[in-house]
Amino acid sequence: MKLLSRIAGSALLAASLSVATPSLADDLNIAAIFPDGVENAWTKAFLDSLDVVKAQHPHGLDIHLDFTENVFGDTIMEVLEAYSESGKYDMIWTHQASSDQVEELKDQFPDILYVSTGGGNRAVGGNGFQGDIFLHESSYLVGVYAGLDTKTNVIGTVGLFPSDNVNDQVNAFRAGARSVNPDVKLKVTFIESWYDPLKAAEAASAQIAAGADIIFQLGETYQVCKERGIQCIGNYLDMTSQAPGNVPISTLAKWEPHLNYFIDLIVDHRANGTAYDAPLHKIVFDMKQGGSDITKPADYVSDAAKAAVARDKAAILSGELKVVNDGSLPTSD
Amino acid sequence: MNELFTETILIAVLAATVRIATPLIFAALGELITERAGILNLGVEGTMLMAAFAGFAGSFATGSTWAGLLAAMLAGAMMAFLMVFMAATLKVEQVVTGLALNLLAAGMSLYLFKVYFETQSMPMTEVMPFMPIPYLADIPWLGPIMFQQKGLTYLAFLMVPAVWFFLYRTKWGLEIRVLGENPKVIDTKGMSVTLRQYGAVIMGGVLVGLGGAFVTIGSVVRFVPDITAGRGWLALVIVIAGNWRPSGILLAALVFAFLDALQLQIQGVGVDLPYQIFLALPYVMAVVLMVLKSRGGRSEQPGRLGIPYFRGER
Repeated sequence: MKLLSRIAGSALLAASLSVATPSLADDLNIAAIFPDGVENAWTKAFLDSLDVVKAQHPHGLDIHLDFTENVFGDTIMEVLEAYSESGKYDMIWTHQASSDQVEELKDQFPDILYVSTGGGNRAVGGNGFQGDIFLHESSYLVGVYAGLDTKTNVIGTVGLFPSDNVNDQVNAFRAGARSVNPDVKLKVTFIESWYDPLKAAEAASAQIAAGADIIFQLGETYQVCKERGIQCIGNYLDMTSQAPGNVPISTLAKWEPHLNYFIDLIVDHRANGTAYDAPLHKIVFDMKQGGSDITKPADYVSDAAKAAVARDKAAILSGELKVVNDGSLPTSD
Repeated sequence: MNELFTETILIAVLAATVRIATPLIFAALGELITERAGILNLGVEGTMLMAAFAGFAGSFATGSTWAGLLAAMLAGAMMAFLMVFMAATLKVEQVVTGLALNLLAAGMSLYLFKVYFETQSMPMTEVMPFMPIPYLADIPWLGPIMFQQKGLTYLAFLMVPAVWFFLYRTKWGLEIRVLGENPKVIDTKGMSVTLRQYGAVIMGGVLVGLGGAFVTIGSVVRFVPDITAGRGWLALVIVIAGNWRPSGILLAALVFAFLDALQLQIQGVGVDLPYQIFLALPYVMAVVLMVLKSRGGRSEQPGRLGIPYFRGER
C-alpha cells in the first residue's frame, strides 16, 4: 500500500508540476499534502476555507492550489521535497503531523512558508509553522443542544482514535450537555481505525442499544442514524446531506483565519524580505476569531435548545463564557 | 457492568454479532472453496476491497443496489480469475501472487475511486435496507437477533449449509476436494484439473465479492480507502480456525464477531480497564485458536494446498 501510495503520489505530483508556471507577483501558489482524500471532512473543511479566501483575493492575489492526497508516513518527505524543489510554491501546507520532515527541509528553502496542522506536530521555528483548530467551543455548544433535546438522558460520541484534538471535543461536548442537564449520561467509544465506517456504525448501534438518542459523530458515519431513527451531530462540516433529517447541527472547522494570517506573512516576506519567524507554539484561532463555528440548528430542534445554543454562543463570542480545553482521555459515564 | 446483562443490551450484542459475522462468513466460505481446490489465495483482503469498491461504484452509477451487488460479484470473480490464472496456468508461487493481489487492489481501488469520483464532495449511494422476516422477526430474542437483518446476512447464513452440501454431497464438490488432495486422480480420469481449479477459485471469488459488497452497499453509504479494514485477513484465519469445514467456519466467524460486538458495547458501559484490551480481543482469540488448532484434532487442511500441479509429476 505504501509503495503504491508513493507511486501514485509521485505520479500526481509529476502531473501537477509538469504544468507549473513561475509564481507571478499577483499570484500566490500553495501546495498541500493531505493524509486522506479530498472528500474526507478534515481535508474538505480546509478546501472549503481556501475557496472562501480565494474568492476574497486578499492583497489582490490570485491563489492557486496544487495538492497530493493520501500521503502519510515516510512518503510525506518525498512529496514535501518534490514540492519544495519545484520552486513554484510560496506556502506548503501539510494537513497532518509533519514537523519532523519540515525541520529537515525548512532551512534549505527559507522563502517557503511551511505549515503543519493537526495533532502530533512540534515547534520547529523559522519558516516552519504549526497550525491547529480547537473545536472545544463548538463541541460545547452542540453538547448544549444534545443535553436539552435528549429524551433518554443518554447521549454518545463515536470517535476514531483518541488524541488531544478529539478528547477536547468529547469532554467539551459532555460539559455543554451537563451545563443544561446535569443528569445526562455520555457513552464514549473509540474504534481505533481510520478506515472502518462499518465498525463506526456498529459502535453507534451499540450506543443506541444502550439508550443513546443523540450521538456526536466523530467517526463520519451517518447512515446508522437514519436507519435507527436517532440524531447524529456532524463534525468539521455541515453534514446534513449525509442523512437529511437526522443531522440537527454540526461543528465547523474554519481555516480562513489561518490562511489569512499566513498570506499576510508571505506578502510581507515578498515585499520587505522579512524573514519568517514562526512562534514556538501552535497558531490557533478560537471561535471569536473565526476559527470555529456551528451550523444553524435544523428547524426541528426544540426552541429551548435553539435559544440555549444561541445564548451560549453569544456568551463565548463576548468572552463571558470560557470553555475549558480538556484533552484528557474521556470515558463513558 | 451490570448494564451489559440487560435483555436489550444482550440482544443488541448478539444482533451485532450476526451483522459483523456476515462479511467474514462470505469471505471465509469463498476461501474455503478456493483452498479445497488446492489454491492458497492470500488475496482475500484485496478481493473484498475491489468488490467493496465495485459494489459502491456500481450502485452509485445505476442507483440500484442490485446492480452494485452484481458489480461486486463480478469484481470478486475477476480478482479470482487473476489469482487462478497465475496459480493454475502460469504456476506462479501462490503466496506471492496473493500478496500481489492485495497490493494491486489497494492501489487500484483508490485510483479508480479518484478517477471515477473526480469531485471534492462526498459521494454517497443507497444501502440495502433491513428486511425483517414476517412473523419470525417477532419471536422473542431470536427475532431481533436473526430475523431483523439485511438480505445479505440471511444469504450468508444460508450459504453455510449450501456450501457444505455442494462440497460434500455433489459430484462437483467431490472433484474440488480431490483437487486439494490429489489432483492426479482427476487428471488420470481424463478430466481437466485446471478447468476445475478455475471454476472453484472463481466461485470462491464471487462469494468473497459478496463479503466485500456487504462492507459498502450492505452497510454504509460511503467508500473510503482500505474500507475492508483487515476483514479479508481475518477470513483466512477463520478458514484455519474452522478446520476447513463450513460448520467450523460459521462457529469461528461468530466467535470473532461476538468479541468485536462485545468490545464495542463494553466501551459504552464504561468498564475500568483500558478499552484497547477489548479492541484486541478478536485478534488475541485468532492467535489462541491457531495455537489450539495446531495442537489438537485431525487437520482437514487440503494436502496439496498451495502446491501447483504439473502433469506427469510423481
